[in-house]
Amino acid sequence: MYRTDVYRFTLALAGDVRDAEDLFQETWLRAVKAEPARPEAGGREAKAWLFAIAANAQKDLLRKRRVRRLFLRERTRAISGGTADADPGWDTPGHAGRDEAVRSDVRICLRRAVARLPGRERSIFVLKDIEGFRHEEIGRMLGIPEPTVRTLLHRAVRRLRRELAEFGPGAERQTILEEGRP
Amino acid sequence: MTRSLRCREVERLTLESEDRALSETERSLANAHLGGCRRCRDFAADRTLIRRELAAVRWPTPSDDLVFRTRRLIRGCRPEAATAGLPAWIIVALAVVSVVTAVGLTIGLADVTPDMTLADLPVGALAAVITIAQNALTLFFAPVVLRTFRARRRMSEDAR
Repeated sequence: MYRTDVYRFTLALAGDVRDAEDLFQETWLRAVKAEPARPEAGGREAKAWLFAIAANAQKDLLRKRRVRRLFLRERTRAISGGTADADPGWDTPGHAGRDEAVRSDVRICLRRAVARLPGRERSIFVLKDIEGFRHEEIGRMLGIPEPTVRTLLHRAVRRLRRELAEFGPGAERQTILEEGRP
Repeated sequence: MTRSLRCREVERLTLESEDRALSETERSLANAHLGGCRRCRDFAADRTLIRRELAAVRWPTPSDDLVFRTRRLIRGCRPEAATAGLPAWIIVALAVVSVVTAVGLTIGLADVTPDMTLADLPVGALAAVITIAQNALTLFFAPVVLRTFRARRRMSEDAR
């Protein structure tokens, strides 16, 4: 029922098709095992429940990779930065007009920037900006206080702004902005 | 007395305004700040840009293959899958066949003695021997037949 939603969420979270597919499967496996805990009401609550499972699965995946990299010196893709150039699985640039090409560039840059966000900030940003959940709901889903959600979202947006500096209206003032940061 | 807001606070209010309606005080303080701060106006404009671009993303749907693989995985991990028994109608049919076979064998083998050869067997006894051989073959091939039956059922469920 929510397979498209879950897939979209895992794609945005993982930043690469292969990882997103693994995460998609892991999410449904965990959901089946945790079925007794599924909220009675369907709709938004059920979706939030599934997304919370996906976010936890992603956290575990990142943790496992970190440990593997630490102990085995695995020379594979980096935890977050390395996924930026992999196949994102979403929004491949089309061949439309020039404006669309520029917008595609923005989106590619945005996608890379989202993939580079640290795990928790990425989850919060995706849940807020792509899935449209409220701060309070995100806090409940990830088991963190609402003020922390706001702080991390703020941090994520600031990071994204830096990545998108060449496209945004604040581009020419970026240096001043960086210098003015506490 | 009204206090002025710092840039950080205005940025946070910009984000919060997406989530809740700002109070009158918050709004007027933020507007007052935004009127004289280009940096915060840029933040708000960048925020709009990010949201607009994300809203325009074309998200793909999961491939049929991925859905199929996921379903197969889920089926394998369900607790009832491990203990799934035979369908009731097969158990009933097996019971009926067993009873009929037992009765048939009892009647057919009643006149058979150890010194008889295959050629000496009466027709009833010969039928009983054929039945025994047939049952042995059925038992030997039953797992293969059941596995095929389950695989076909799974495929038809997936197709649905």
